[in-house]
Amino acid sequence: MTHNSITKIFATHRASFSLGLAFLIIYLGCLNTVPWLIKHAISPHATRSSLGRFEFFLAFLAILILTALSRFASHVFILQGGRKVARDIRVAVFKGIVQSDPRQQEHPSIHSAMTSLSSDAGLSEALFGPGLLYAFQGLLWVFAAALSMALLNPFLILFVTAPWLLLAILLSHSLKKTHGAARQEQLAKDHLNHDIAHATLGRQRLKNWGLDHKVSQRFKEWNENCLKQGQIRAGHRSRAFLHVSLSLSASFLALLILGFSAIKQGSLSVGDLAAAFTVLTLLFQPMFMLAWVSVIVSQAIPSLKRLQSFINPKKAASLTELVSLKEDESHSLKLKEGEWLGLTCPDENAREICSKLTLEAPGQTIYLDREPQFFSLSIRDNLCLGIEKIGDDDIDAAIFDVGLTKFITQLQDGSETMLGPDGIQLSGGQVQRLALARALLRKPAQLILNEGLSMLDSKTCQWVLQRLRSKPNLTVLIRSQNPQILKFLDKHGVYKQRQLRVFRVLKSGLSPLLIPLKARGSRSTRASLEFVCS
Amino acid sequence: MLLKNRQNSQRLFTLLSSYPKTLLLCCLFAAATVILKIMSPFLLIQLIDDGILANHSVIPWEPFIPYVLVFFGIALSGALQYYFNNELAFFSLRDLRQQLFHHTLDLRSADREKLHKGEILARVMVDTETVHGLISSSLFGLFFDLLFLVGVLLFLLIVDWRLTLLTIPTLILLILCISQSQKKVSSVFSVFLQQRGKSLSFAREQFQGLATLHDLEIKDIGDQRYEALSAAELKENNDAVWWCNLASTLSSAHFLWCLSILVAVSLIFELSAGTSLALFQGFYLLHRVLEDLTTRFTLLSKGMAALDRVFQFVPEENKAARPSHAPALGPLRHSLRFHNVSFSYDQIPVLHGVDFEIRPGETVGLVGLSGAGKSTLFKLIEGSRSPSEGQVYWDHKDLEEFDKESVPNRVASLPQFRTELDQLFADEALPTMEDYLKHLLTRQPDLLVLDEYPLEQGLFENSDLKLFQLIKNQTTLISSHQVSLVKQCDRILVLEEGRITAEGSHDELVIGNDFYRSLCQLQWGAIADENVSVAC
Repeated sequence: MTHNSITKIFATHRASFSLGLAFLIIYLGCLNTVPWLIKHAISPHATRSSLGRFEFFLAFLAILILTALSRFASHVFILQGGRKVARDIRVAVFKGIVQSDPRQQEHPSIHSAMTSLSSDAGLSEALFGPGLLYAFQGLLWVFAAALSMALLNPFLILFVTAPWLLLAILLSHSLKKTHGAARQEQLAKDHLNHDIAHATLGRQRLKNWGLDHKVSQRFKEWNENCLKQGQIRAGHRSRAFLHVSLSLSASFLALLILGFSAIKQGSLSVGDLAAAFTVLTLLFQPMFMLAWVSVIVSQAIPSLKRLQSFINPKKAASLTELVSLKEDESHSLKLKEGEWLGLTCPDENAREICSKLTLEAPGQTIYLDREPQFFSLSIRDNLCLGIEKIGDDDIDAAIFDVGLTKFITQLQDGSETMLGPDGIQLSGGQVQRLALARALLRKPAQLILNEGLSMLDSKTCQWVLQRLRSKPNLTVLIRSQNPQILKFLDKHGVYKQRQLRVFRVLKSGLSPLLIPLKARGSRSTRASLEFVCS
Repeated sequence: MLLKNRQNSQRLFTLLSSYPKTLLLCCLFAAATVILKIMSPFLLIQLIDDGILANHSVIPWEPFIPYVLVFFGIALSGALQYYFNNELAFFSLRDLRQQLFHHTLDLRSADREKLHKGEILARVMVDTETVHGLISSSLFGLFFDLLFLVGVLLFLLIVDWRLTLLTIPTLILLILCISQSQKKVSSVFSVFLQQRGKSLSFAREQFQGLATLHDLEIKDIGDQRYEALSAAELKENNDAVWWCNLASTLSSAHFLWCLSILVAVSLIFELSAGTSLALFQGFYLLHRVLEDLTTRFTLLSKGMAALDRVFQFVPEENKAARPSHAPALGPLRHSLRFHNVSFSYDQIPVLHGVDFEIRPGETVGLVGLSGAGKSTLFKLIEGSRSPSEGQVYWDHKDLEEFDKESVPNRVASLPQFRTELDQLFADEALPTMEDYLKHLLTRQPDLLVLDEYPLEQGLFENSDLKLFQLIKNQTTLISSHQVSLVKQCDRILVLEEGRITAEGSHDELVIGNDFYRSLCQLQWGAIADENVSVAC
């Protein structure tokens, strides 16, 4: 089995499925006594039968009650089991995605993750709920029908098996196509999700950026694509419907012609024929069910595969070796406790270089970038996310360090103010500072600020840097375009042409305009950095 | 229940009637299927009693021909009805999605900020699909089944009117059951859909913040919450399905009940074999109809609940498409002027009496601390917000008097976050901010507003110089907290706590404004003190 974890989830709910199956057997058993009763009623000896009319009626009623009860129970157990399996799969997918590293290539995009949680999980619900129920029911029904036909007259088995064979041939033919369409539809839905996320930016803004047309156009294209794939799927379904109807009709006809010939020859009784007719009529339902199941299965397989890949994400290949740090160079970057290193490098390598520069000190390293995320919780809950015990003093101190005390106290609900759609919107600088406060509450040994203070104005930035510098054991790696940070640094690394060169900052405050000033003919700053590594 | 929201039903009808041909074909084939199906038991009586069981020495072929035709007719028209029905549902699904998408685009920013993205997603993706189910299986199925029910009852009436009487008590019971369960089902479903929207919203937020959660090493923080949310979702779903199961079981039992009566009747009246079989088939059809009806009603309630959510979100067509009579914004000839403009978000004041002017061809810088109101000021120019007090004049005319839709034709801006661009160009070669700015300039905007233009290369690349080469002679407003970026502007505005406190060139402000000077000092430290003009 390839769907290991999904099988495991399924196995945890097997009790409910087996109960459902047991009731299903009772249900179908009861239902398939009906042709016998019909045979009994129709046969010319019925009136003289030892079974009186009243008792006959009672038997029918008893079967009726038992059938209804077992049908109800079987549906409850199997459908609920299916929903539980789907729920567990959804939770497992959620956990799987949350566990996978968002910065690795193998990580699913948020859009395909969302399609999986809504659309793929919906399909798995259909598959394990009604799909399984109908598959069980259909298969058991076929078996029961074949059995009753055999007991009536072996000659009649042909009429039960022939339509199935016909159906199987017809269905398998068009299933492959549906499979491909389902995959395409999944992709189209991913894109739709993607574009909806952009639509939430608003037309005005997208228009200002000159992009509204692009977004609308793309949504339209994928929407049409989605429609097209859906039509292929629906086409298959109506074909399946036609196949069932045709194969059953043919079977009915054969039964009538051959059956009545047999009656004329005396090898079949009228009662037998009536019963066979009943069996065949009842067979309509399971055949439709199985045709439906075949469609659902072909549609759900790509979805299940994807869900599976989210539950057990593949280990991503290691980061590409963009940075060629020599062994001794990376050792030279072992910062002492409390040391600050500045970094200059292009945007696209920043994250990778930051992660390469392992600042080997014990304790937590916290990475902050330009656009930290907050959740729809209160400010306080956002700050304490995942920390079990924390004092108000600590929170206040962290807020003070990032200079948000005044802002938060002026809010009506203070630190209990909600963020996000239900609450207030923060400015870019406030978001960055709040993220820094969240990091500080965790008492990190090292802090990596990859443009993490980029939206702070100079005054606030100065305050924040001073507060950070006053923490004696905090090691900081900071990447910034803001010249004012340089006087806080001990060392400065410059990454160019796949090489990182580290300089020691000698005289605070003189270094920042190193290259720009050099370009403009100033000599004074060149001396401010001493080259420490070759 | 169906007409609970008449307006919604009307809108649904409008949606469907935009494809009149498909709608007509669908109804036509449904009617044909029903008529053929009702005909089949009659033919059966004839076929068995007169054709086969009559004393012929050889079985005649003639009576089989209409029977064969009817059977294949049922198969074909059934499949065609199914096909057109699905077409109609898919077209409507596409149209609804498109409507929802455009509505999302057009949401007023104040409304947009109040909405979870996941909630919008749930409406566009999940709810519309439920509506698709409503159209594809329940709406026409219902029509089909009701037609069928009438047909079957008619058949029973023709064969023996007493049989119809026998079904009446069970029918009444069933109708009561359905109507009771449907009330429950429709309320449970709307709660369920809301619940699903909530859990999707939550998941979306978690996925979006995943990088943060990983950095803080608290990946599984949302697991419990999500489990709780999906458990609540499951409970509502189970409740709803329990009730529909009850209703369909009752209809199934009804079939057996009718069958037992039929057997009793055939025993008492000693009916002919053909009539018995035909009656049996009639009851079987009745049972199918009733069982279908309960399922249809369930899907209908579910679909209507979804439709309700979709239509709640999208306003009526005629309201949304109201043509704007306001004139379009013309080219900027004289000036863009802020006159005593104040603005507050939910009673939190941000701007107080802001006055300034930008003339064509000028490059104006805006500096201020974070939270001073720079971005808000930009929103007022871009037209996504309106001032609480005062006016923004575009060539001496209030910006509010223009059609807001036309503002972007004149005013261009860049996204503040690089990631916003990354997502837009997800499947293409990613342009740099600079490329993107060049692209924007080809549209020749009357005014370019750059809110915190991100300098990509940073300190060592002179990217500020590059930027100024690009926007030479372009009317531009640039905001930054970095003095280095705005120092080359023709004029610089200093924004402090929502007020413009100073205005002038860099050199003037360094000497004349304490706040601005302190910003310079912080950024350039000693150099700024020693020799401002050399350093800057």
